[in-house]
Amino acid sequence: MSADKKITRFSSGPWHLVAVIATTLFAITVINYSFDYGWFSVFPNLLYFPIIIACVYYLKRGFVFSVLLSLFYLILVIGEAKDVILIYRAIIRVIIFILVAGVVTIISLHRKRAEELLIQERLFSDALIDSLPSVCYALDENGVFLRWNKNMERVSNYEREEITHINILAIIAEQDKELIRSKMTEVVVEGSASTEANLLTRNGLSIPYHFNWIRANIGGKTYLLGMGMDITNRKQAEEIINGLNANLERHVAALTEANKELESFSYSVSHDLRAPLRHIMGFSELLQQTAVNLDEKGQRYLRNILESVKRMGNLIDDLLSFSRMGRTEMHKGTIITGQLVEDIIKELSDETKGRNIIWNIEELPPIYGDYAMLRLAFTNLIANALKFTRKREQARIEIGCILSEDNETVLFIRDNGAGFDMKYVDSLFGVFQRLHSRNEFEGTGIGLANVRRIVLRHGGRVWAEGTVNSGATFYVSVPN
Amino acid sequence: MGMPGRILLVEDDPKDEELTITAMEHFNIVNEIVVARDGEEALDYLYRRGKFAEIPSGNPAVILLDLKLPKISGLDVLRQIKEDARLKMIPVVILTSSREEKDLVSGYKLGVSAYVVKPVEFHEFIDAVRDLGAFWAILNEPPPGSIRKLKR
Repeated sequence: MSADKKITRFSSGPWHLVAVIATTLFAITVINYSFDYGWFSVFPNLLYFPIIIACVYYLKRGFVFSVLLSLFYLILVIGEAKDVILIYRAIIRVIIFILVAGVVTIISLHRKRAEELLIQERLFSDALIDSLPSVCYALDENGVFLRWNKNMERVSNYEREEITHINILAIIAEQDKELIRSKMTEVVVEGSASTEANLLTRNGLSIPYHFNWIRANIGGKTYLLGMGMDITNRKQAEEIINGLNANLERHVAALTEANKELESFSYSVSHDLRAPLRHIMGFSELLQQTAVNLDEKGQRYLRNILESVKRMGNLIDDLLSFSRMGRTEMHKGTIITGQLVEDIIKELSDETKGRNIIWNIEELPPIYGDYAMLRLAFTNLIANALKFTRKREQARIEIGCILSEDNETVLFIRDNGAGFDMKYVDSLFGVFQRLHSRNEFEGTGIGLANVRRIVLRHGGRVWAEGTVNSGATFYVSVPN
Repeated sequence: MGMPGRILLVEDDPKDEELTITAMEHFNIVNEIVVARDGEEALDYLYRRGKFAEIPSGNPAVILLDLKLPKISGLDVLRQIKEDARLKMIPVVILTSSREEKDLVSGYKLGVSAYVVKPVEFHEFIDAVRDLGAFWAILNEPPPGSIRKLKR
């Protein structure tokens, strides 16, 4: 901002020309005077210095001028010299003159270069702070503006002259003035400070800003260097986010409510639906015991009632276990799959007894998941394989693993059982979905739905391939 | 085997009550049963107030407690029993339809003696009631102060 002032101080203006002429005239007068009085010692040589310094310092190509001046003097002396000694003296004088002029020239060139560098540095730092997108300024320790960038003028709407010597509080909204005052103290004491506050423009507009300051001690003086960033967009985004968050919270609350309802629903299924079922069953059995005169038909009706009630009980139990599967907390760990499969097959020994089954179990990699849940899933799949191969003279059940590139382990269970039609593959994993009649194969149709839910909760996938009467393959992928 | 103790059956459903009593008829412990139809009645009986004000003192040998009850829930009845120094020694067996883990956990946390889920099939149900009756009302030695025989 005030760099041009300094530039004028170093440039040669009309006053300097006058000074050069005056100094030169003075020097010439003194020299002539000394000549007239015959001071032909070394001393008068020193009287040239003002001329040298004046020439070199203030005039362009001062050194050349000095040399020409001394040569001119030499010519004058030689032209009028009556004595060789005078000529020698003049030569010595000129050599001293030129040497001194040279030294002075070198010193002043260095100085000029330093001044130019300073100016360049100044221009560079001005350009730098002007290029910053934020408001940027330097204050003295009382908060008065010393320097600032163009953005400062543009944002605050103040003219350059107006900003000079105003305090930072002048561009702060009324309600934030106290805050900024305390921050100014903080930055002087602590060395840095930052805050959000509203910037007040000259035309009374209030803009949300984020200010920060650091203290700088330069040349024994304390300066506060500050920056301010327009956070209007951030504030608006924050408002939007707050709105979204509130919305999200409402949804979460609704979801929690729905979850609670679901829980109370399953509670009511567990308690309220089972009670009448138990009554039907209990009184039917009591009827069976007391109605001794009931004919064969009546007895059959009662048996049917009891069977249906029992089936309904199983359905309710399955539904409950399915709902529990979606709610219970998971405890994950590494599972030795081979051991798990072995245990399950042992557990299912009632199913395998007396049957001709060829087990083909590959070496299986360990998987990561909830042991109890995955055990249930694999039990369902293996029990299914056993169930649907029951009519085979020789059942063949294969359990293996497919190498997969994606960070997951894919296990499969293949049987040569009843299989299924691929066009119904989508309903295979649905709740209470069955592809076989109950007379053919028993079951409620919850098993595969449970398998699917368990695997999905592990972040994996399930799918199946099958052909009617040629067996089925079920695939389970679990992330590693 | 001592004399059968008195059983307090807390059950709001008359059909369940009938089935339970019928099951107990098989084992001749029917006249030892007092029925409370909700949580409040159960507490009235235990504190001998309201319609139970006239009964002789003494705690039942065992309480068979349903969870879902009108007015005061089974778990709240259980909590009050366990908070009262005079009642907390009475063995309490939860006899319910609920298999929910949260009920199981709350029940055991409150210090229930046993948790029995009513089986759907009647013959299993009478087996369960027989075992319960046999164990708690006959085999188990109740805490001092329990009534061993209902005097009418």
